[in-house]
Amino acid sequence: MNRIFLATQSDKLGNEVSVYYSEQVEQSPILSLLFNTCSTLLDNNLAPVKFYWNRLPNAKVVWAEDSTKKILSAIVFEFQPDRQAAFILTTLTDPTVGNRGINKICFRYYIQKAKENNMVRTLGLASVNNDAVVKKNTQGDNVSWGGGKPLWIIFTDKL
Amino acid sequence: MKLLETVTINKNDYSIWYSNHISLRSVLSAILKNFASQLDKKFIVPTLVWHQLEDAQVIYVSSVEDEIIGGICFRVDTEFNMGEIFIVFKEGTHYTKDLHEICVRHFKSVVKEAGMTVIVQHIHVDDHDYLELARYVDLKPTYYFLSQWLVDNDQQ
Repeated sequence: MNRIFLATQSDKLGNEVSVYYSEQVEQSPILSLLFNTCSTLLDNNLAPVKFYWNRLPNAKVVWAEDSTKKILSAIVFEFQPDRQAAFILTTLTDPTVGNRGINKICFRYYIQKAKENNMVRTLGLASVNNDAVVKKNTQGDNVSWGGGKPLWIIFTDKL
Repeated sequence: MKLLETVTINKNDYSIWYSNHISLRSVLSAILKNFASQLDKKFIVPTLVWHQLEDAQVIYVSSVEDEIIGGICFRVDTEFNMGEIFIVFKEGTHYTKDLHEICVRHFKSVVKEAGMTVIVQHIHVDDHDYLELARYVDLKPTYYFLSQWLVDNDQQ
């Protein structure tokens, strides 16, 4: 298995989590959580049926796990050299460990990896109905486009 | 999607469907859940199966309420002329051997029509659930492909 240790961090409750990076999702231990998350997103109409199946196997991943190696959270992304962007394909958090700031820890190291690879911007796509992502980062219900409510929102930021 | 047949088993009505790609949200969701469960049990090799979803075909069973009951996710491998089942998926407990037998019959028919000469399914030796299903539907193997992990269990 391909895993590179990045750091040990504390979550909001003071629990230690270890952060790892892998060049390939399919070589990482996050697959089970990834499939369960995709399934939940599909059930709730928060992801397109034509997901990024062809791109996921070669995507990069930063993830956090506890001392028992349980996967707590992860960010799956790819580098898009033409846009110089680190594009987030999906973010995952085990529902039993939500609101502990663990995905935020992963995000920090995703940014680090993006910079190391000379990317100049972050990119991410979320369904407008994905409250966990959208309301946290926007004015929520006030998002409008073309006089109506958009289906998806692209998040981007300079690095 | 093509309706293959409707059947009644134990007074319940079911529809059997075929699709040459996974276009239905609820079917894909069910398949992914089953993948996750198989991975947790270490019954499948991640690199072998999951990215084949792009080419996946499916024969599945739905209830009269349009709930997904289960089915067979497979692909047609023209390089080796084989119809390869890469996951038998289930939602709940309604996917019985009777329904599986019907799905297998249609699976065989679809891959035969596509010119395939052999069918293949990988089943982990400890996966008694699927071994039982295979036995019930007379999927008696012609060959055994013997395999063994070369890395620790945690590293699979």
